[in-house]
Amino acid sequence: MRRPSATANTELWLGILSILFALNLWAEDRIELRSGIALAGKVVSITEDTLTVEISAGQRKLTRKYPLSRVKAVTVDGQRRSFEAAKKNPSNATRKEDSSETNSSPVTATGLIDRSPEEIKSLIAQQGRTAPAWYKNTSLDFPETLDLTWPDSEPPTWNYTRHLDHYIWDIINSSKSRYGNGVRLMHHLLQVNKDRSPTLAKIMNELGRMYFEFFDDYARAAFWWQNAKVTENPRFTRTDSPARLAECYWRLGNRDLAITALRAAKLTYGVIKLWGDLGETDHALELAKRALEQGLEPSEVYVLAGDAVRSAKRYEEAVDFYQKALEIEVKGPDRDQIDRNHRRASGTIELIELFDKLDFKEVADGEYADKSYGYAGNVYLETKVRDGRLLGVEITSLSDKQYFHAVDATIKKIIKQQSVQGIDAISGATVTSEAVVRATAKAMAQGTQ
Amino acid sequence: MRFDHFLPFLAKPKPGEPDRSRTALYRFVREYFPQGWFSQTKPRQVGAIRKWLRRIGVSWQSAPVRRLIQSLCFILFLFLFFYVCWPYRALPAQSYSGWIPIEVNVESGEVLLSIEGLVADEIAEGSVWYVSDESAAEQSYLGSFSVRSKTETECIVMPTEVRSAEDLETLSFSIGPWKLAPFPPDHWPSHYADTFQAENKVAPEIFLILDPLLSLSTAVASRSWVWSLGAAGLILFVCIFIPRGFCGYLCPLGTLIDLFDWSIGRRVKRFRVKGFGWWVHLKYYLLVAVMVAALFGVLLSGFVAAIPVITRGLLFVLVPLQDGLIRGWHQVPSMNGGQVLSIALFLGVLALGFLQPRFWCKYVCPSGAVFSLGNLFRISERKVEESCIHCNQCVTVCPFDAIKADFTTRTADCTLCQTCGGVCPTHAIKFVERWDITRLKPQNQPPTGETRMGRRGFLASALGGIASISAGSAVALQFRGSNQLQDPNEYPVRPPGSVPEQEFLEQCIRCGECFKVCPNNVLQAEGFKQGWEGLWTPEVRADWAGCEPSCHSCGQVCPTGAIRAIPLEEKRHARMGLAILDEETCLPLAGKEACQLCVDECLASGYDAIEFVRVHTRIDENGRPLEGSGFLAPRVEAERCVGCGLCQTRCYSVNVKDKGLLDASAVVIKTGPDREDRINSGSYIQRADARQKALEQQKSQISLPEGDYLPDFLE
Repeated sequence: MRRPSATANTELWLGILSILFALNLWAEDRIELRSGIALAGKVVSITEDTLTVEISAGQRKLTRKYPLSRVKAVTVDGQRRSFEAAKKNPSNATRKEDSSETNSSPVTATGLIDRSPEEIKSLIAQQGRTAPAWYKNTSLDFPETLDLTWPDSEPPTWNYTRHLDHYIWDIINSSKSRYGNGVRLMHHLLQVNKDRSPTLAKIMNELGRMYFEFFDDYARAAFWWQNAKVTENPRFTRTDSPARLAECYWRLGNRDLAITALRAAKLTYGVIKLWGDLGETDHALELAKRALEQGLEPSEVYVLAGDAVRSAKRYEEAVDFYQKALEIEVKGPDRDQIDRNHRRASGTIELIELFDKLDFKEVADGEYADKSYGYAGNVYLETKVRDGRLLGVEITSLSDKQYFHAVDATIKKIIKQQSVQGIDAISGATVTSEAVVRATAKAMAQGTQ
Repeated sequence: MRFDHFLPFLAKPKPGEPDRSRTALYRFVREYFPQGWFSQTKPRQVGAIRKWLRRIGVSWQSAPVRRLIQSLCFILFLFLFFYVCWPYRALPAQSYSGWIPIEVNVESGEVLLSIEGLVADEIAEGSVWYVSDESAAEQSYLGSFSVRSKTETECIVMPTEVRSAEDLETLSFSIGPWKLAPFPPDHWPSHYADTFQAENKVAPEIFLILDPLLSLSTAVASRSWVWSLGAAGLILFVCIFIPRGFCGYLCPLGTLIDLFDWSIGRRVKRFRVKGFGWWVHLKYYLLVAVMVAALFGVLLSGFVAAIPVITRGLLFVLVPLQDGLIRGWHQVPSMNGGQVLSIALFLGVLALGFLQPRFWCKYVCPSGAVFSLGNLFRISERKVEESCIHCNQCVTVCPFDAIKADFTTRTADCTLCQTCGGVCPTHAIKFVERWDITRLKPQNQPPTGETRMGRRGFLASALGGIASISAGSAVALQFRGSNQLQDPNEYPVRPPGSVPEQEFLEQCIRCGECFKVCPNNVLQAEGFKQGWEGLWTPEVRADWAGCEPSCHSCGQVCPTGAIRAIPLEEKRHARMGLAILDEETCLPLAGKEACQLCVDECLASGYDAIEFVRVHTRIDENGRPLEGSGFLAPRVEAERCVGCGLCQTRCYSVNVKDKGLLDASAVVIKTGPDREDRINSGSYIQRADARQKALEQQKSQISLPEGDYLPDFLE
């Protein structure tokens, strides 16, 4: 993996910053609940006993109504109004308040929970220092031949029973049931290597990755990454760890903190991804452009750029980016990575053409036949369209033996919805019904060209 | 005491003749039903019922009650076999995802949900749904809600039970999407079991358990109590009152043979045989042979007993048609030699009807022989009174040749069908208790030409007996000897909950009920893999289909308990075998291409017993793995695998059959002592728990002290 060279363009940064703050200043009120959780949203009304809040989640506006007895305070336009006196249900509320101190399950619904930097700091410290609930029931299980000193350079012979990198790669990362074992092993390594500080940093960085990737446990991931000093240690600054640490702050409830951390991070793939996820599409594209100049692997960058514009529903641009990823030749040391990005790119292009962009109303009248791979072979079908309506789907050949009920049920759903989006797969026959949906989409897509 | 039911009162009585049949039933019927239905003496007039019955046929006219019962039993048999045992009405519980909680009221818990597209009809007002948050990494369960009201794209739901204030508040933090499922998240799918249970009002195997030869021979062969002996005892008890009534009224094979005779047999006269020959006692010799073989632990009743012959016949002849026409011809598995043999046997039994009507029932059927022997204890009997005018009508009409030349009864053969009673012009035939001797006609008039068994007769039967005993033993030894399968790891995969292999062979009567109820024909008839001994026993054909996790029907219909009738919860843990990976051929393991069919399949089934490992990873000069290199390959977690075979089905149908990449499935279910649970009693769950515990103990020996979460330097 080639690394970006650090050439920070101060002017550009400043420009982007100002845009970001403009974007970010949509007036957010802060609602503090007695349970200790705070939300960011817009206070719509406060009546005698109910507080109504409107929250933006992506394109949607969600409404939440709280009894005032559960609200501690609201801050509207910087003015904090406390409801301490207005307790409707004192006995009930106080009891809950006590228990809230030990409430250790943070809700991490992005964009909804609002935590101040101090709250995030204490949450990370508190959770990071305590083991997760599943920890004590997870056994320490690894091959005895494993070299627990984890040297930086390992001999170029593949042996997952001896080399930790190989063991993590082949065994831990591959299977969900090993995730817990992996974390447990890392904690064990901390004890084994407690006098070797470079190794310790490596272990803690890996712990951060595991809590983040395996368990979406952002508080613990942040705790270990902070302790590994991923934002300072030159070993880690060019990896995705700093960007992911920033993502932890966002997930835990403070977007500004995340953006600050992200701005301080060196340009990596993870940085582009997070800007895209945060909804700052144009900035993500800008960084992608720079990443190419800095020599990051281009197919990966194009795919990330494509993902960013796709989530902003800019489908034409997304297809262009994925096409560019497909134009990168599969060769050199990164050929596996390029190959994987090719698969991702072509898969996503198909998804966009078949699902994101497809509108039955734009399909010309006619009959369209297509196929898709099902349980035991291709499902062949023919669709019939009149006046922008799907009238019928006829299965022309089907080799799937199981689940024959799935076919009719799926077709009925598609015709009723007049769309291939949001068709739930028929339980117990997921493969067959997905093939029917996909083949229908492919057939219909023929009629839009 | 009279056992008449042939309804002679429907016939018009001769003038001046007293109406003899003044039973309570007779008086009741005549009192409360329209007079026009019945024949009248004055003026002489044939009743409506009798006119109508006469149109159908003489046997209906003579003994309508018997024909009615026979027809109902046959219809019941067909209904149970073709409808109740047809598994494909079961549909899995459907979940609905993509619901956005637009509005949450934390006070009441009321939630306004919205969906892109339309609200499914199933989400009806008042219906209850189990909701989980799909946005969370580990889907988090939000509890159950009932639908208060709905529009085209929205619905309002309320919690079904009282929730704590915190729970309600937690709801408000979720931005969705939510999934609405008809069951809580930990619910094991049970749609096949539920549908079967709901429709299983009459045990579908009722006719099999009523065939006494099956339970008797099975009990002897396996030297154990077979639960269906109870049913056999019951029917034998009933047959004390209605001698051989099973054959005349209940047996679906008998009815089918009647239908064959009515439609085909009576039109083809060329093969008819007259009178009696060497074959008349064949059924007793067959019975002796079957029981002798059973003593040797070999079960022959499946070959010759009445009900298995018809169930297997219909299974191999008509069920493929049913499957092919309704579900498509690609759903019909191919046949093996054993199945062809079974069809030949079935057709042979029907073809015996060319010799004489009901030739099979009269002379060959060993189940009938059990009832014939049971007739020795009869308390009712057909008797002829002195008013007999020797018209011979009863002899002609009797389908069982149970009336001698002097019009008295061959008591071992009479099925008390009472047809003769209905045709008798003088009402001389009565069905009364055995000891009734009033007004009987003298015997041997006209002479029957039959003598008591003389020396030759005795010799003949002795010879026959010896022959059948030696034949039974010889066949038993031949069957045993033909089983050349030695390696227990090569044994066929048996249905879940099967008893140990030897007992299984001794208890399975090869009726084929389990094939019929099995969704997707996972269970198919074994051919000659184990010689004759395993012929027609159920075998899991995982190349064809895998065992459905929500189904346990095979054990529920097994009439002898060769497959134990275990609840679904137990069946989930009953191991049929173990999935073994062929590391030489498995596509990712061999380094050929990415493939995760078996892993996906196992995860979807709920067993989650196949996991990924990465193989063929390439490394850079520092020994670090290269991003994106290698394949994810399957690894079977033996402690979770029950051998359902779904993985094998998928690998075979895609990699072998459709794409032609392999010659055989790279993952195959194998049997063997430590791979399957073959027990006569006890719980599969407990066994699974014990294995799990042993495994954990093994692990905990290498486990290191707890509390190593936070190292000292961070304290």
